[in-house]
Amino acid sequence: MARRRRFEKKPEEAEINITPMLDMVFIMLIFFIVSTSFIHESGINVTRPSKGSQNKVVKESKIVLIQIKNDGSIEMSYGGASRTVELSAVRPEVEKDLAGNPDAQVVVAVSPGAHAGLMVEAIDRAKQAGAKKVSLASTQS
Amino acid sequence: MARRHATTEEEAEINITPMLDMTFILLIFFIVTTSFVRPPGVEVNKPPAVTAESMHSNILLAVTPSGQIWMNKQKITLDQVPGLVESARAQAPQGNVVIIVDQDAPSGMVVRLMGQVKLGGATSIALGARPVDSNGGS
Repeated sequence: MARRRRFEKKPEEAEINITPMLDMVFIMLIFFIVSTSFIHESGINVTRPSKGSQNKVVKESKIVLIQIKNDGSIEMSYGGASRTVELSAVRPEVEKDLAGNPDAQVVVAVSPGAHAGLMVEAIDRAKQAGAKKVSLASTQS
Repeated sequence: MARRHATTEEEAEINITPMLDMTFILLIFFIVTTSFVRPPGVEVNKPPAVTAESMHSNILLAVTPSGQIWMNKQKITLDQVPGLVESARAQAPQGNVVIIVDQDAPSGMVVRLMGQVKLGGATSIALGARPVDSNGGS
């Protein structure tokens, strides 16, 4: 009898219940939407001369050197001649030097005590003048 | 005629399959694009720069006016930098390193920090700056 009754039951449809999975997927979706940040930090790229690249000898005459002293004064030298300049004069000076030699490297050499703001502004002005790569070095470390 | 009437009546159910497809696509999109940027944890006064460009980065370091280095909401020393940068790069291999410097931070510390970051294996290092337009620069 029992056996017969079992067979009389209406057969259940074989369906997977996807509701809990859906709940989870939605929770994950909301988590990732909330945690995604599309804010990007802005900055300027600089290169730091690495130990490997020191082997590459660059002629000193091909380097536009911008030295920033501890007291905030800026000294530029290119091809042996050095002169003390104002921050606002960095851009035209670099432009002038690059006009004669577009491949010249621009190196910013800072004294350890100089303010970083001045350093970043000097790099920025050299980049505005058209320098593709600006390297950063320290005078003593 | 009789046969048409004999067809079973359809149940009134909304088909959720397209919505599910879309939800999964959205989920995958957000999983892929999410990058967990860890803020360094200190407020710094960034120097202005005209040539500043947007960086896709998730390794952020900050240098305060007194020369302290902050990363991931804690103060760290110069010696810890290579190890921390290396482990951060293991989690996000394509991440650039951005050093956010304060205007009054000592440059010597920034240059030394860049050397240490390089030791950690970073290929591209940028200095954080506040973008300004060319006529508004100070």
